[in-house]
Amino acid sequence: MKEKLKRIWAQRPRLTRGQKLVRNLGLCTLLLLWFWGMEDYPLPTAELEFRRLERTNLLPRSEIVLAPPTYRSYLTVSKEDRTFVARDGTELTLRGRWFVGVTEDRATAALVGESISTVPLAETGPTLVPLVDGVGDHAGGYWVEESPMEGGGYRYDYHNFSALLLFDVPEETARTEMSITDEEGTPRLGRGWDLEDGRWLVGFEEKGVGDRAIGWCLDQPYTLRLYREDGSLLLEQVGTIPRAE
Amino acid sequence: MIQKNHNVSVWLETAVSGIRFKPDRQAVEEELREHIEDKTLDLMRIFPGMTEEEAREQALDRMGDPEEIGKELAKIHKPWLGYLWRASKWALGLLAAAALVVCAATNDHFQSARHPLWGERATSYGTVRGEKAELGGYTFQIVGAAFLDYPEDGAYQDVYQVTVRVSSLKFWERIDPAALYSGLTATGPDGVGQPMDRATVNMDLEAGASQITVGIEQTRWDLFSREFAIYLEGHDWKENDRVTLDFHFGRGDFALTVDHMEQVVME
Repeated sequence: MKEKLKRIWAQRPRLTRGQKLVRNLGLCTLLLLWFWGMEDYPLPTAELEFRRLERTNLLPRSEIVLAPPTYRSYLTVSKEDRTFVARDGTELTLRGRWFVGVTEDRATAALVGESISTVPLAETGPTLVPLVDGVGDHAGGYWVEESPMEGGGYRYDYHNFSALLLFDVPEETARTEMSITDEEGTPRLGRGWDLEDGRWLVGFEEKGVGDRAIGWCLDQPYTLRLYREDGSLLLEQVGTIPRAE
Repeated sequence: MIQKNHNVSVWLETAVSGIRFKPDRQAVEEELREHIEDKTLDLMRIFPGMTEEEAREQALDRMGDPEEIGKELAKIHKPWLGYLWRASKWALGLLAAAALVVCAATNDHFQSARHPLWGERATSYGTVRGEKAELGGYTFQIVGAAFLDYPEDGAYQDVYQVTVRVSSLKFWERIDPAALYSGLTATGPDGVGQPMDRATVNMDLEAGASQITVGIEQTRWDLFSREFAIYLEGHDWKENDRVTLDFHFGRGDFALTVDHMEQVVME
């Protein structure tokens, strides 16, 4: 039996070095594909992930209006971040990498690696996009407030917030205010941060919800007020926070 | 004798010095050495009076100019192919070892536990090759249509089950189930459209049974497709009962219809 096996082994087709190389590279490719699949086929950048989410949800390609900021680091050319720096210097960190895109009649909001949804564009005035994921959870973010302490040093307060993106905001807007009556009938006042290019991030501070914000604001009536530099009212818009589809 | 062997070594070193890939250099050197030895023995057999040293000297002379041979050998033996081949062996070995570790760690010999490459969650009944539609690189086809007829006194109730396969050659871009859940409305023989972004689940805690009576679930998936079973409440089965699936996506709308339901008696 052993001899027979040896004979069969000796009769195996002899491969040239080139053929062996092709065989090895083919097997390596298969194994790498298997590892890639095990991680659910990650793509190298968040934008590619967003584009894939659009395609796998059969949504038209959108024009991106909000993307995770990138910055140069020492080790890599650029790194995707979740922290936006507003015009007033406030650092706003979103939980997750968010993209918002615009198509002909809808705005697409995607939490990369999680979910994608769309809301209709406003017929007039700024469009409001709640940054809430598919199950109304894990959304929002936080901003950090730095204040000097009496005995020296600084104190940092973390404020959790539910986030909404406003875009197509008139350039002369200097301040944004939004009020919503929540599901318990309590009026809540949100503040806005200018992200430039007609984009404002509106946040409603969340207390007692730990590090998560929920989609409580969806379908709730809101009043949006935009003010000029001199404090005069530029625009007042009334509506209902759209629920993403 | 030492001098003669030294000559052979020098000759061989000169001849193989142009081969940059070490394993090749060693193999060729060994082959040439054997060749010289064969020639030496031949000469000693043909000319019995010749000493071993003389025969080896003659053999070396007949082998030719080592520098010329070295140039030819260097042309034939490309070092990059050798290095690439060696690197491919190492890469394959490392990847195979990593795969074994993953298999052992996940106790899963053909797929990962986190994102199984293929699997089955529920059974589809009434295999058919039904209507087909294409959108955005995906092919939607009805592959199952059945009336699941449960016993009257059991914990489950009769339902229509229509199975749709969504396939794409881009295995890294299979359809997002959420897109189907939010974009599909199923209309049964009763003519009532049921949006699939919600589900009615019948739970019998005593019997420990749960059943989707209206809704959708992913039943099977593999590298190139996902299959989804759509459930609608069923009452009195008729062979030509019709179910229509209306798909509404950002990229377009279409409908698939099935008008033949196989009755499957469930136990």
